[in-house]
Amino acid sequence: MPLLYWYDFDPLHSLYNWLRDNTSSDVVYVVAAVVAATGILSFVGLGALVNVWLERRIIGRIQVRKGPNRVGPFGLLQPVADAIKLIQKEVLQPRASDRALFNLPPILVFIPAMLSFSVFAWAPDLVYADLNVGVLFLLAISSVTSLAIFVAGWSSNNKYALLGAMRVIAMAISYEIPLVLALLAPVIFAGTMSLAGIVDFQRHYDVWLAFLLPMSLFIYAISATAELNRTPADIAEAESEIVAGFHTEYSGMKFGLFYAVELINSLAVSGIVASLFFGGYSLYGLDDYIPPWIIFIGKIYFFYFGLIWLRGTWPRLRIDQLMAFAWKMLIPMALINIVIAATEVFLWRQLEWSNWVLAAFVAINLVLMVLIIGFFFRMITRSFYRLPRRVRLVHDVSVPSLPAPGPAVGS
Amino acid sequence: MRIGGVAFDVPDEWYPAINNLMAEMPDRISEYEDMLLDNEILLARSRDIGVLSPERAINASISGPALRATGIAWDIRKADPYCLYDRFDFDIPVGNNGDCFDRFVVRMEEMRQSVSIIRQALQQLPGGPVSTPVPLAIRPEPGEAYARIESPKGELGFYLVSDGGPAPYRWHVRSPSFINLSVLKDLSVGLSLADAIVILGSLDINVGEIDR
Repeated sequence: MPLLYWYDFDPLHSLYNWLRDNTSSDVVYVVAAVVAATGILSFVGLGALVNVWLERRIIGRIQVRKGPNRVGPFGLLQPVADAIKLIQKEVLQPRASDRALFNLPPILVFIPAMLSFSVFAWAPDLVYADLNVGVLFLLAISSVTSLAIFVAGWSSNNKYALLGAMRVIAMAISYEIPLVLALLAPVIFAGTMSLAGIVDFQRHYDVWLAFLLPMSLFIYAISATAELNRTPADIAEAESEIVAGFHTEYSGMKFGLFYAVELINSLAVSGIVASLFFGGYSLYGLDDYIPPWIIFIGKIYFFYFGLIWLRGTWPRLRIDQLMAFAWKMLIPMALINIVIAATEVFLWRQLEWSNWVLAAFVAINLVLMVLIIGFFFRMITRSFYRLPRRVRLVHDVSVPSLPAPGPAVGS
Repeated sequence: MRIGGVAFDVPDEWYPAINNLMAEMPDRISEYEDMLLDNEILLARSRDIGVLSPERAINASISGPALRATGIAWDIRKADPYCLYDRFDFDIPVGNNGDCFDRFVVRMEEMRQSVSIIRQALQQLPGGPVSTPVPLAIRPEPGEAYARIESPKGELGFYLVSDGGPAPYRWHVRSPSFINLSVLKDLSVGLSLADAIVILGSLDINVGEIDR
């Protein structure tokens, strides 16, 4: 028997029943849409504020420094102070920029970031829009972000912004292919594109797709990190190379929107990983005792922590290496992965959808993943290990005798 | 540091602080090495990037970690010991390939050697006065002098010519950043913009030293 607390959505359910009995269906529809949209928007808005603080504190801890610690307890009010500062700042408009196109991108990146939360299943019957093409919808709106960033870079009329924009498009095209291919395998297995449906599949068979299709998770996690423009793939705004990339010319709250979108998109990607690969709101029976939406948010923040960890630890890749990684490693791996998934679903249907076959697939796929990733990994990193990676220790000064001096320096 | 000694003796709280740091530092260095030396992204960005040959390094008068990374064991603290460096036992870390990665690992190992030197120095640290009285205006004999030390960036040399007056007749600083930077063009031809950032970082330049 599930326990019910104030944080369950029982009052909402009563409201829904009352509205259904006393008013027309149109009213129910509108009220439900407004209430749910308010809920999602406040989660996303608050989430962006919390994420600013989390990122800076956790990266600070990783890099052995303190992070924000002055405004409020533990620096908790720092994001609020930042937001106030950004709102107060003058919004500059470069004279040579394209006025309409320059003002559009901050809004254009914000809408898809918000929309992606509408298809998540927060609890068994708590989906804002249970689209039967949910995965496709997510992929479609996530590519709008790349387009908006390109428009931002182009309309700024700044060479660094344009360089950043070109990098975004090059990277988005390269990484969207493995990303889509990686998400195909869970769709093949679950037989549906609805996120709620995929979560139901994982609950029904008591197996997370992360175990069933570990390679999909691997490819998706890497491609999504690249799509998010976060380190180790933040070449679009590589601050040591091209100032701030596509948002060089943006100031004030327009820049603030880009910044917020980066954090919201990170949440969205964590949400996709949580729903598609880690059972969404389900947690092997624990969801009877903990409200499912708390489990889901907990999972989102678990994977979000992983993203922060990556950002705090890894250096940035060069653009050609990043592209080579997508084309030479991720796309072949994703194709192999789809063949494996399709074959297994075919076998599974022949064996009448029995449970023990899934267990066998989990073991087989884990072994296959280790072999395939190991193979590709060796191909890519072989040249790095040609030379020793440790220094020699010499006790005394020794200078080799060299041939006669060459041409003078600077000649 | 000033002529005749240093300005103040170390405060009492300095000893526990430095002992803590020296106890903590080797573990930290090992932790950083575990994380970075086998990191494929770091290797991809720095292996075979900005390769400096030993011949080119010597001809361009490169010194410090950038020279040691090319495989030449050269350290002024050993070659021409000044201060107390002949009393300390330490090794010169030497790279294999002279690329950005080697410059990085050489610096990592130098941190460990520095910890060892500081430990030895702490054991031998005597008490007593920290400065000798020095006349306000120093009038050296006419002549010239060159003194050099092994700074973290390379050979830092000072050349002074005196005409017997209180101010130097000529004063020249051989700053390692300025001279190490002269190979930037050799190192970065044929590479991409992002590599230039890595090469600049691995040469470890100080812009204030270059401005001369």
